[in-house]
Amino acid sequence: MDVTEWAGVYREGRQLYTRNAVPGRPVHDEELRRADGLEYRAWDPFRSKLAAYLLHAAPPGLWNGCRSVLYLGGAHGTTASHLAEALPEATVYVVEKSPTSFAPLLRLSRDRPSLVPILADAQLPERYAADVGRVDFLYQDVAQRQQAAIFVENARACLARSGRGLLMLKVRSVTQRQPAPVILRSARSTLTSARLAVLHESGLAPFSQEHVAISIRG
Amino acid sequence: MTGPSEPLPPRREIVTTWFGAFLVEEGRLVQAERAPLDPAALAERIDLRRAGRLVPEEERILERLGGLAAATSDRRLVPHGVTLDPRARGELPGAEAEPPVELHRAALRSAAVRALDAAWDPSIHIEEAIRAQEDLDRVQNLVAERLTSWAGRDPPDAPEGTPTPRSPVDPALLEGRAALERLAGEIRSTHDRLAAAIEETLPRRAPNLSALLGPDLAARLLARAGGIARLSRLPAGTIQVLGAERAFFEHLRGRAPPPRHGLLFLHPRIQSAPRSERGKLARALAGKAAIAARLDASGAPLHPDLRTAFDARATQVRSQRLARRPPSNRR
Ligand SMILES: C[S@@+](CC[C@H](N)C(=O)[O-])C[C@H]1O[C@@H](n2cnc3c(N)ncnc32)[C@H](O)[C@@H]1O
Repeated sequence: MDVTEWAGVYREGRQLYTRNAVPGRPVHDEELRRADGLEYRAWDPFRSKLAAYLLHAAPPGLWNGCRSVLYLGGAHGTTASHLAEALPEATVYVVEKSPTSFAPLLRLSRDRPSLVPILADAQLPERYAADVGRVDFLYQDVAQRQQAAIFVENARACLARSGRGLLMLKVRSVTQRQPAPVILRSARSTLTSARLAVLHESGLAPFSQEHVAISIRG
Repeated sequence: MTGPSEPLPPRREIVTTWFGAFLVEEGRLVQAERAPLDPAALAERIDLRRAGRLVPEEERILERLGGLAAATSDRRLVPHGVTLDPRARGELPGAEAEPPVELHRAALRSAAVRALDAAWDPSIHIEEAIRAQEDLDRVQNLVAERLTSWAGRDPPDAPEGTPTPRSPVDPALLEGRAALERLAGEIRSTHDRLAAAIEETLPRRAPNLSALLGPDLAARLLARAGGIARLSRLPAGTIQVLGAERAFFEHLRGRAPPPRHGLLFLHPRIQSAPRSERGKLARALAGKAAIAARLDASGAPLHPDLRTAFDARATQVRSQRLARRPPSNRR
């Protein structure tokens, strides 16, 4: 198992791993691998846009040293669980608004005390900001129309000065009438007019065709 | 650390954290209202914040502040006269020690468990039905407008003996329009069907609210509050302005006076009352609605007196007005 330039992430060839926080139990049916007496969970880039982004030359040290993370759109916790494992010292607050998705997320967090699920709408950050405080890293994957505005509001309410952020921008979907470049341009301008500095943009092909990852600094 | 280019923090800021509310002036802590450090009390405060409401500690800060200007980074405080300010960071001056994070996590967990429980509240489906109706309203307006515009392009029948006959409209397009007309009919009937479903469900799910307000208004109120469990925890004053969120926003932007009536304003007794009485009636109705919601949330059957009590109050307000009326007005 080789270390990578992202804290807590390991790799073997092209396959990424994190240290399994609950040895013997996968989160879904992902591969578990023992190496050097430790257990690792495979991090599937087809299932997790964050893993795809890492394989797409994400900036080194993207979240190194972070002590708290706000994760918006947690769904069942696939990605959030890996992020929590990569940052064992950090608290990872995971906001998810659909009760149906929240149930498995809550179950998952039972054995992972640093993963804190919050049932709330990311459009209303004032409802959880007092609990979250100022985080070092803001991650968003909500796949909804107001995505850039939601990101900005959450950065305003919860991101520390000079904190980092990563927006998984959905640029293509059957219901969106605008072409991808228009969506991307408008998101960029929403971010910069909120004085967030765009550091890096990257497509996620072949893992996802529909998203562009935008990395920012607050 | 504040670099030279960092904007100065606002003079007075209200800071809310998971363990209390604080007033910071010129970077110094001047009032600290700490929440009790037990999981139940902390979880209760989390519930309040999740519902967009103030916690008792914030209320105490606001009370002492007595309307002085202050900044915040938390939008929940804005309706209470505090200014949203990007320079406000919601951070305490360094010295304030944070209580053990395990306490916070335990409280968050129990709040999450409870929130999920409440999310299965079947009355939530009433909210979705109401929202679906609103969606249909929008679509229906769009389609109706389009059909009107389209029909306006039909050439009138040509008078006898017109020299150059107009080239006919393509039948495929007219068939497309007929399909759109059928869709409009379908939208209307789906809307009616949702209305019937709501009307049928409400007296069972919320007998007291339904009897007091009528099924449609009761459903709208439930939808605004996010279910019967949530509604039952709201104070009457909040219930009175539920549904006036847009008016509230206009008010915040300085474009309108604060709203005095929300959805309850649609109640026939209030609609038919003269302006001067509506405030009193809305207050009375909100009080009864709060009781009705609590009864319904606990699964209590229909309480016969609620409606009568409100009607009695309405009559009383009316007779007070008649008694007060100066003789000159009495023709
Ligand atoms: C594409 S999934 C996220 C997948 C997840 N990030 C992962 O990689 O494991 C999007 C999720 O965002 C949630 N979501 C959408 N809008 C939201 C909002 N306004 N607030 C919170 N969650 C939202 C959806 O319920 C859904 O579970």
